[in-house]
Amino acid sequence: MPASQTKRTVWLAALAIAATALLLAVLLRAAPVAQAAQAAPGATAPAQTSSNSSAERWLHVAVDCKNENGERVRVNLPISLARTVLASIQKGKLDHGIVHVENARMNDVDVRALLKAVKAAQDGEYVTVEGKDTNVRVRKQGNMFLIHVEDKTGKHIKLDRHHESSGPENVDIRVPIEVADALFSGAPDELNVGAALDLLSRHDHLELVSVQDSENNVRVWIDTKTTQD
Amino acid sequence: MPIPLIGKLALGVTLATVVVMKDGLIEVNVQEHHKGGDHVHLYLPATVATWGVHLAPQEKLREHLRNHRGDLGIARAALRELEKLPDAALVEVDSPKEHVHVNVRNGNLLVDVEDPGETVHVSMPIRAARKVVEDLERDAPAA
Repeated sequence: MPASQTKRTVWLAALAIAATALLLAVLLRAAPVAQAAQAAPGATAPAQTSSNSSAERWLHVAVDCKNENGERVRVNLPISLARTVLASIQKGKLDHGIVHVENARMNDVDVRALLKAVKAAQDGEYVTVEGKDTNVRVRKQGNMFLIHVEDKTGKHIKLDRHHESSGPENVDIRVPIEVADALFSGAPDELNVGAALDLLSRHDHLELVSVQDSENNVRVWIDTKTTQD
Repeated sequence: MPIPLIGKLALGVTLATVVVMKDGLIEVNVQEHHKGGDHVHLYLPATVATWGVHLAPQEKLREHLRNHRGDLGIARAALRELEKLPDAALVEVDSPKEHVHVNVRNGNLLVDVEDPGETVHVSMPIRAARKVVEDLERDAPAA
């Protein structure tokens, strides 16, 4: 092979390797960026995810155990994910977001009629049960049902080797009336969880459940943040 | 002008790398804590997983898929939604002995489990997982 041809071959090979390296560098750098952009059209940086300005609503669950193990659970779930997954399930009592309830009569209480009556009624406390061990209060305030249960008996738990704790259990539940309405909007033996989730996702911030006792603190709420900070 | 052999090789390597890397990487890292415990740390191109669907024994695969077609639909729906998410910590379970974290970061689903027995880290591109599930669902015979 003449020297000039060898030289040309070496140059071509070097050019091909350089082009390959350049192409790979571009592709490997672009892939994660493209993936991130595709995955999160509204997210520009991780730091901004805690304050999501999009319409997505997140369901948050926080559980803090005060016992000796001190477990801590945090769940952050976009409602759209829960809604879509629920809608795709057709198994057992779940049918595309609708739950079939076998004993729908609920001790012969017509929940739908009850809801309709309370919806039309004025704000106020509708149920008050004061027992030796438990107090229960159900009231309507604006567009909300507020349920407060106080278990006075309390639980004894072991905090560590030397300490125990006990105290009352307080449960607070807040349900928008429209959500309760949507839940019971189907047939008498159905709970329309999908429709209830749809309406829940219209709230910017909503405290749903709070449970506080000597053993656990549980909080369930909805907001537009992806984190619980 | 004929392309020299080394150029053809470079072109082949480039194309192969692009094909393999386009779906991202699956990372699996398992460290057993006991004495003499194994440590497995591997990166797999996610494309391999999509090929794996077609390379698996079709008879057995079809039989398995027949029974789980509904589950694949649920997984597809979940993965499609996960794909749209910004970076987020979906699940965090922490106790003195165990930690379980599930995160979404840069389009990857990250699962981290740490307990006294082992530490496990799995990172998987959600898009590739969705493609695998869609392939499986397409191949699944009706129940």
